[in-house]
Amino acid sequence: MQTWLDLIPLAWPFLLKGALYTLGFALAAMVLGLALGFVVALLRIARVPVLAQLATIYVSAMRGTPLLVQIFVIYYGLPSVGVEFEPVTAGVLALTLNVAAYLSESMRGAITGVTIGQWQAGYSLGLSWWQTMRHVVAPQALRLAVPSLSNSLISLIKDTSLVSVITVTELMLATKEVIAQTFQPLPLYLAAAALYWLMSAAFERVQRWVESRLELAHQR
Amino acid sequence: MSIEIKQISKRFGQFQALNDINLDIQGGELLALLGPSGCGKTTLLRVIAGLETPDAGQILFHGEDATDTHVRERQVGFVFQHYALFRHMTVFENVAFGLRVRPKKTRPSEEAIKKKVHELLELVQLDWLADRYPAQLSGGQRQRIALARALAVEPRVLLLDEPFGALDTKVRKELRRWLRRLHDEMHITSVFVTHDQEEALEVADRVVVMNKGRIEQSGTPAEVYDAPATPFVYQFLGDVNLFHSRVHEGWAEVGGTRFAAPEAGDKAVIYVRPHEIDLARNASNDALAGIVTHVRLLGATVRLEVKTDAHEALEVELTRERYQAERWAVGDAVWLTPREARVYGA
Repeated sequence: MQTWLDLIPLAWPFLLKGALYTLGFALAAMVLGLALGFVVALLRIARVPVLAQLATIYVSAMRGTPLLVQIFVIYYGLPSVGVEFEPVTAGVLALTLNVAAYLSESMRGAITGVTIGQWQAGYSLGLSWWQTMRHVVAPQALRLAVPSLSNSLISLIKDTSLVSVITVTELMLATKEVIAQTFQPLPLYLAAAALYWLMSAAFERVQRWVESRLELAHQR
Repeated sequence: MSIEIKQISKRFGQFQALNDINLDIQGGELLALLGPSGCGKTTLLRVIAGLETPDAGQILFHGEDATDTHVRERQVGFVFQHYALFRHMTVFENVAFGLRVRPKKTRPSEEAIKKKVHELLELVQLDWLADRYPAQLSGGQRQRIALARALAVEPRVLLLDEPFGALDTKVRKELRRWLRRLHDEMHITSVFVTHDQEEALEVADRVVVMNKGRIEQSGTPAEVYDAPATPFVYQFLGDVNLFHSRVHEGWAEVGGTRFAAPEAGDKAVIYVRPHEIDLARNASNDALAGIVTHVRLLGATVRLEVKTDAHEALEVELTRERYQAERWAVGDAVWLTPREARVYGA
């Protein structure tokens, strides 16, 4: 136990830095993924010709292949056709593309979950499709979508560990590097797990706050 | 604004919802589309609104073809059966919304919007609920807010889909009288859909009775009630007893009572409303003999169910006073004579 405590000053800076990278990846992919996911959901809902079909294939491919394989394809595969990314860029790109597919499905479900009457009420007041989506349907869909969006976003926080395979020193790889020096896998992996949990728990707080904000307007 | 509906047809798969509908709606009229579920009345209303596209035919608004005009450009106010209020907005915002989202050029100023919304909320007598959310309101209140929201954008036509369908009887009666008064003040061309004949007869200037995608009859409440054009209209507008008869030299018979049947062939169906039958305790040659099998007290009136040789259950309605004076009871022998009847060919 004494040796575990001795690890703290040694490992702390590395793990913290790794955790910050992890957080950065997660936040970047969250923001970009929510934006891309919304666009993908809109394309499918509005049945935009060609683009809607492409969006469907995209979602199916992203959900149907392992994230690890997607990361490998982007970082190790694409350079052979002349497309090269920095590890950080490749990581954010892979995570974004992956999480956006899941998020778009949650949003699509929530948007179709808003009754057709709301659309028609919007139209009958003279609103365009986009105005109705923006002012009437999306705000109501958001509330329906939050629990399921949060699921994907919490998964995303944990999935960032996979970008350790492309030499990005995020929390997972940082932990491995400390282990390589100290030969203490159990306490260090447990510490890494604790940090992931902490970040996820913090996100759950955010989710609860958002839900309570949205709930104000939806008392039954 | 007047609306002309010309040869409108609409199918949903195998189901013919509207079959060659022709109807002129006068400017400022309050018109009821009345019929049983599945008769096409709601589809017709939605076609007028532009929420459904007809397969054939034309809709003219004030003489102009509006068939291909999108609902948002038709300037119709639509009140939905289940209100379709925006649940994430307060009552005030719901009513203001149609004005708020207008492009800058045509959008009234913030003060003008406020004034207008409060006027409308006063009109529907719910100004005190402006800050509530729809979920905090009762059904009747939601319905009135939905109406205020539809009126806010100053529509040329007001369309109401079963506006009182989801409310309890007492609120429904209050609201329909209120709608009638409101229409008398505003004179906006209005069409409402209902399956409740009482509601249609009480509120509307003109009633259009629909059945199986067609118009059976169109006329003032008095016209359709007193002179139903078809057996369907007759049956739909109230309870009815049915008698079958052969026709001899232009006359049909119920018991010994004869009714003129000029248009019928050699067989006729005779419709008699429950309150158009006289009751007697004494036998007579012309009357139908029967036995009282049930007595139902319905407030101001009383219904007797009478079994005769030819009929399981004829319904006879009488006032409470007469019922009490004559003391009818289950098991009594009774002789029935129809006072009035309508005869249709069978």
